[in-house]
Amino acid sequence: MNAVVETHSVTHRYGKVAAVQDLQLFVPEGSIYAFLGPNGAGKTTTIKLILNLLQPTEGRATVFGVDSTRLGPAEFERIGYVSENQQLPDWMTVQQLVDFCRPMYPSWDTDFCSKMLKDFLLPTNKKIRDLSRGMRMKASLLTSLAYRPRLLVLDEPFTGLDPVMRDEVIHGILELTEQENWSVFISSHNIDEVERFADWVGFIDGGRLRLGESTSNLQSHFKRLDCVVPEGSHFASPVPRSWLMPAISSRSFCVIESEYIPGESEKRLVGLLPGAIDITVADLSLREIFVGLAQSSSSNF
Amino acid sequence: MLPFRVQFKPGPRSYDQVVYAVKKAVISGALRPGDSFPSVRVMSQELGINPNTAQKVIAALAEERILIVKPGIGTVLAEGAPASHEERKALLGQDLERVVVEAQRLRLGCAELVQAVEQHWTRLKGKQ
Amino acid sequence: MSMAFHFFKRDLRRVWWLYSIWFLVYAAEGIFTAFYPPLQDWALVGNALVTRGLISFSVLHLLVLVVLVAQLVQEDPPVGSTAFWLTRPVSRASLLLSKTAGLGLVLLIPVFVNTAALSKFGFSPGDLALAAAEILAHQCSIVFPIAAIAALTPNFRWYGAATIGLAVGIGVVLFIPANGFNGGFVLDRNAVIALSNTRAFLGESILIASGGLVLAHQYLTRRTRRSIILAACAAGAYILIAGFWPWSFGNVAPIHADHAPFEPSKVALEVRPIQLNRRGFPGGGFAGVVSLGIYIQVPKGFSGEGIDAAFSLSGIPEDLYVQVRSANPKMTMPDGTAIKTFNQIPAGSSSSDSAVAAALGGIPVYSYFLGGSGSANLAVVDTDTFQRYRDGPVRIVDDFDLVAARYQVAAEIPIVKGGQFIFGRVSVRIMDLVPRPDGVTLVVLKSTILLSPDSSTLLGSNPLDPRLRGDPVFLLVNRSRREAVPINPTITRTGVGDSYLSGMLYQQNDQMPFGGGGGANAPVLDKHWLAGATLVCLERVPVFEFRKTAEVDLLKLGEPWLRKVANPPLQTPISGTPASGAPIAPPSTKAADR
Repeated sequence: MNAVVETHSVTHRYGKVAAVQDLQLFVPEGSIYAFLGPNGAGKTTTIKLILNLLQPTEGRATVFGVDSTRLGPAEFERIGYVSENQQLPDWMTVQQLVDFCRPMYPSWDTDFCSKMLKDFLLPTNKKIRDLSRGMRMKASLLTSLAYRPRLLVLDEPFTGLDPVMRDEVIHGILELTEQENWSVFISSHNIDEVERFADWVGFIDGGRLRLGESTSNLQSHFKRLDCVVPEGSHFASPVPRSWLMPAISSRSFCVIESEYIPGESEKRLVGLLPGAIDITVADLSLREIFVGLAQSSSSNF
Repeated sequence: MLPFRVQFKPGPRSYDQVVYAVKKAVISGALRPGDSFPSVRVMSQELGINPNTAQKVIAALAEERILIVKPGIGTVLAEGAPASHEERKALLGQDLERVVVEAQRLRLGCAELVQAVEQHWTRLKGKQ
Repeated sequence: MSMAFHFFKRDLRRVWWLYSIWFLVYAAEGIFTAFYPPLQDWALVGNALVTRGLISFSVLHLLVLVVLVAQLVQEDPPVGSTAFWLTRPVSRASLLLSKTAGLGLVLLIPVFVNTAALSKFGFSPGDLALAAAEILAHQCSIVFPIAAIAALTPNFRWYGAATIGLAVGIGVVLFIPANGFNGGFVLDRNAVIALSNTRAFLGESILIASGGLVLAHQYLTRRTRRSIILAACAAGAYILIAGFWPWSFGNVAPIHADHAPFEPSKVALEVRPIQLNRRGFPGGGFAGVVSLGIYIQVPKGFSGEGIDAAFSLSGIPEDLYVQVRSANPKMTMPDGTAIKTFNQIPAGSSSSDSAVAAALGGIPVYSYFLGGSGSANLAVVDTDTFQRYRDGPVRIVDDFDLVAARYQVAAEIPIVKGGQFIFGRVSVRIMDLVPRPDGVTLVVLKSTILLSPDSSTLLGSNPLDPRLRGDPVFLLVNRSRREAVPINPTITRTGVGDSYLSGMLYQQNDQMPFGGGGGANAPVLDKHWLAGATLVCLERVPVFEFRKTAEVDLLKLGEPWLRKVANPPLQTPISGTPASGAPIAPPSTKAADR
């Protein structure tokens, strides 16, 4: 699997504080990568480091195999960037912005652009500074999609958008389906926004990457185990590290198993809770997985 | 607009929920044999799901011969080609178990359950 | 590169109105200068570079420029991480090129407009080209640093603060007059001018080079910290060099002839202290501070007691003119305290009349000397010191630098309207002859033929500055009658004025009244006399420099006329008008030798 974006032990410090520490990110080509984490975790810093808006204090990042500090017009012709941290030329109208961006990209698709202008209901003659937040986001997205980039990077694009606009943004991003080798890197602090359409997920907290794998992988080894236990049961031996949020109440027990192995995990459960019967294994949503991860002690990582 | 409706619930995987929704649509008559089925792109856009997931849904439904993928033309609904009696009953197994568990939890008797089943049956059959 | 052009076009579309205002401001000034009479010279605020620069470059120019440059550069700022262009496929070199093009247009407008305005004055294409180059350099020295500041600041607010802060800061530091700028003390001012011009030249070069370098560096590498360090070093270098650079490029080599035209030991310098004179600097502001190092630092509002003396020179050949300036006045008090004082007015000189006459081939020059006693300042002491030692004896030792010069005829033309000649880099033209009962007044226009702005800009040395050419002497000379008449100092001259264009003094109106005046044998110049006369311009050529020490023992500081007669008595009292204007008196009757 090729990486479209990779970081090797990237650290970025502001003075003494490291906003991002020893980051090992792997974003496979062709994936829709959801980069999750609470506010202040380092998501925006990571994105800026990837796109050479900031330079790493240590380590290096690569995009399309090219060192981030060497990114030039050849790479940016295939990269789209949407972020509230980007200053759009406020004084331009939507149409002027389109006309301004078009000559920069040899792969600009004028028909596709016109279609999106209509789909997004963007008023072409309105100045960007007079647009609402959602409209501004869509205008920014438009000028990053029209040339069908190979990598689309979005920094918390859904903040402050109502669900309708959110769907429009996702709709716009997914317009790129059917082209070859396109990847999306999207950061968010809200799992629900991205749960359904990401196939890879990374989780950053306190500047460090806690997790980075495909959703199918994640969902195959995170399962909820439920069973019925005799009253007054207690654990035969210490609870394994891979058990998150074990909860026992009168005659039922449930736990999130983070390293599920079919058959083995059930056996281990019985071993720890003798008398357990009626064990069921259920899939977890991403949200449930992250809640489990967040609420258990950090030593689990 | 998709020719079938999916109501996403947290928990089960999107893949499972979409497959279920399609199958339900086929049964209820919303999707008829010969109808064209949305492309990967449209499906992923309309449902907000990952295109790979959409691709897998189509692949799985094609394998079950609910859909026919015609390269270059598109995807269409297949003629109703039923699997064997036993296979079909096995498919329902898990769902039936869930219904029974729920019914028992709600302290419904078997007869009441069967009555409810009949009601739903009639409702859906009427739409064919 | 087409991407550079693409960005440049966008910038033009956005700020075309600012460019228009910029153009109009210059166009208005150009039209006004080209078609209106010259403005009065009002830039009398001393030699501070900043003051000159600011006044020349009017406030409106600066305001528009500051806004325009910021709008150009900060539309695509090279600082920070949020600029739109950072993730777009435009190379940094292309972006820099587009900014350069935008700035180039800013620079070209004044060059073009001003050169067009100047062409009305009949300068040759070569001179106009040189003028254009100088205007361009002057503009660059302001635009580049401002653009660099804009490139290092994230928004207009920071940019405005930084620009104002730096300008004020540098101005304050440089306003404290640096060494050698006390024009009032020095007779031979060429050295001062040359030094000032050298500093201006170097300073401007630094501004242009560093401004461009920082701008390019920031765009090409986006390494803000390094750029700021570069800028700070440049600012420091500018302050040091523009304020304190000690060596001048220019013909101010010490004048040592291989064979002195006379024997310096035969020259006698008599210094006779005659009176006390309150001297002082008015209080307030920076003007109260005198140069550091050479003289005693004088706080604001200094006042003191000055000792005025009569100076006289003897033993000088008649065809030479000698200027005296004090190099090193020192006072020793009875208790041994030594004080380095200073004097406020240059010491004096011999009469120039004989030297001028010699240059004319022996034709005597009428002298308007008005008589009366005169003196010049020998030394000034602050009030406290004076009070402490006023009753005691004091010894004053002063080394005088003397510069002997010869006059030579620079030009001689008939007295007709339209007559003109070239004197150095100045073209002098007689615009009008206004007859008077006892003479004539020449209305004269002096213009630079080699355009050279005043000393606050690149090539420096304004040829119209009278200090530079050493006060040329203008005379009407009738050779057949062997009579020469200088400008009549008793007639007030009106309508004298300087014309500036963006800081460049490029022409002067002047009036020269000849003939008449007080005195029994004041010359009356009638038509016949004038018909046989010419307008002669003489310039002074320094020939030889030497030093003389004078020692004066005062019996009582408070009564400086009480002194020991240490010097030999004067042979021939020489009277006349020294170059600085302070008349030398014959020995005062009050100064009775004791």
